[in-house]
Amino acid sequence: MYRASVGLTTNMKASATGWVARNAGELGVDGIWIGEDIGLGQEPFVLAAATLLQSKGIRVGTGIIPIAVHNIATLARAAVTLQEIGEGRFIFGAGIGGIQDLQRMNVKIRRPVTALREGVDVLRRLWQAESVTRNTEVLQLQDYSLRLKKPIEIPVFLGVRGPQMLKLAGRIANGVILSGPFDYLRYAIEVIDNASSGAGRKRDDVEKVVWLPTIPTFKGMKEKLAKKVVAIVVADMPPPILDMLQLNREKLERIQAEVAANGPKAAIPLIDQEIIDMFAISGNKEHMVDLFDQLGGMGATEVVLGPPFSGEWREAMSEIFEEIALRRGA
Amino acid sequence: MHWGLAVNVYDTVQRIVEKCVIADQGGIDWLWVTDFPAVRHAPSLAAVVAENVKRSRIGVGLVSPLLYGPEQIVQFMSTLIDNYGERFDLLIGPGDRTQLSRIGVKYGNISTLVTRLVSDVTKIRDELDERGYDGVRVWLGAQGPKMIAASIKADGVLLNYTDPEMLRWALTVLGDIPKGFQIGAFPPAFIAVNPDCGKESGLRKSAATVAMGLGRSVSLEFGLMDTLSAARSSLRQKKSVDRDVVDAIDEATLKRFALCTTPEGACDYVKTLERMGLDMVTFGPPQGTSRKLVKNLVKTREHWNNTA
Repeated sequence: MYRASVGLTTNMKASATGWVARNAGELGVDGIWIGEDIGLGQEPFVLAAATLLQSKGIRVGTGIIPIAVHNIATLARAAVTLQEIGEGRFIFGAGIGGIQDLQRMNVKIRRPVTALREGVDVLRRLWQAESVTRNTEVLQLQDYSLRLKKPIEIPVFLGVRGPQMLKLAGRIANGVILSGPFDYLRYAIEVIDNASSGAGRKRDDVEKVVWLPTIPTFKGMKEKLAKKVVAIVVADMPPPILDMLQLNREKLERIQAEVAANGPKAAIPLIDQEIIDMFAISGNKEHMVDLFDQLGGMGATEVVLGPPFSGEWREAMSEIFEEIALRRGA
Repeated sequence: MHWGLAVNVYDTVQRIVEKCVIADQGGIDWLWVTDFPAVRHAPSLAAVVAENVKRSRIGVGLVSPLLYGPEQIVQFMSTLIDNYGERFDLLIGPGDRTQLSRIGVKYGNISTLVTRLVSDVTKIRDELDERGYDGVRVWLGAQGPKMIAASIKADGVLLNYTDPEMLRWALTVLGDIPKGFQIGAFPPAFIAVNPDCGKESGLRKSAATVAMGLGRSVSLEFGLMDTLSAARSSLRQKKSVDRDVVDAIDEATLKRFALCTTPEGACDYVKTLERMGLDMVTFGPPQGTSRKLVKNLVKTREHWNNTA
């Protein structure tokens, strides 16, 4: 059976993120993932610290922190602090970052797969109490160590999308955070499994977390908000993934162009039900959990509920987790 | 007069929290959590301290705007306040130049450093005010005359001196002090019933570190150029303050950069600073390194309360 978790983003209010963390145990939530909306809302590490402190006994992970946007020493130190605060419950979810976000921040990475591989390698060496010297596209360290008295284990999950990134995650990561249409997810899980087998690892060595926008239509979710989120997801979808879909390519490219030119709000009129169904999990609670079950059957070891959160989202969340518990026989 | 403690961020989170709770319950007004080059991430650490302490204010810093941009600093301060209330202050400073260069962060043009820092402080204050977080005091850590003079643009200054004579000089550099502006001292400290000051290697190292940070003009002001030259040569070779650097500084000079005394002596010291017009003393390392030393500080504070 897959784990069922909740996804938060830094752009949510503290009252909302705190509610989720404090009620996670009662809701039956297995974990909380925190996505960084770069520069917006709450600071991701402080939010992760607060979430670890407000929740009890569940995993809390970043999903994801773009490594090129922070100093690598800050990432290493923050992860150590959070792992100690959570007494082993923290997961460091990292990635290169969304295309739109990096463009907005004027961050250019010529070799993203190499940058991510090196970033993970350096972090793990620092957590193993090693001294590191490295001078690369995104890393500059000179004889730097964390001065740890003993090594610390921190699981690394990678938020990845393209085939080379998926293979990298299969080879080196403790887990993968995936997002995209179902056809793509099936392909991605296969690529990860093949890469992990190729590297002499077991299939279970790499957890597969699937985080899609979830749109519960039964508790007053605002349609416009749901469409805006889907527009952002479509805009970040690389061409090879769009090629896999049985959808009108021109329609998707029009959405991408509109988001790039005028932002996601402007693309709302272009998002129809067919596109929502392809890129998000929506509907009533039974249908949504059916789709979660389907993801579990495809090999997802964890599914993530939300965001966007609107309408009576607290009630919707409670009912969805009740439905999951019911099917688990709890 | 407010009392502060510099939390020892080389400890594990659990031990840091234990000591902060002791200090909080013992009436210490401010708990300062420094950032890089400490192993732990100060903003996250401030969250766990806030979760566990009831009345102390929590100072985040020293934080370097060379490592975090002003936007990031505003973001973590506002997140702390949103989650834990208006209990946080911020200490800004350039940070350790050598340590920062190890992680790819450069000071840049040194002649504009003070101007850049003051500009960052202004940006941070304005942005926090604009977002409605007007209870945050932004302090500037200062030692040299330019930084001390510029600190008037912040809400307060934390002076990296111990010796009352040096603090008096810093006050003259500050000049006219605006209403509400806070002045604090940050002495390396070791307070115990029977302190054996010559044997306290942690204290001696902290004192030497402060002494080695002294600029040319301040060294000349206090006639320390010759006295510190051997230690400076040693530091250039070793690149960090080790025993050889410490031993190259004579005892009398080291004493000017650290407070090593009994609880009664510490109260006298605080009284002296209060008379000079200071608002806060934050007891620096090694006072925060062990539960015993934190308890000593708490007892000293009790003594202060009983005798004031």
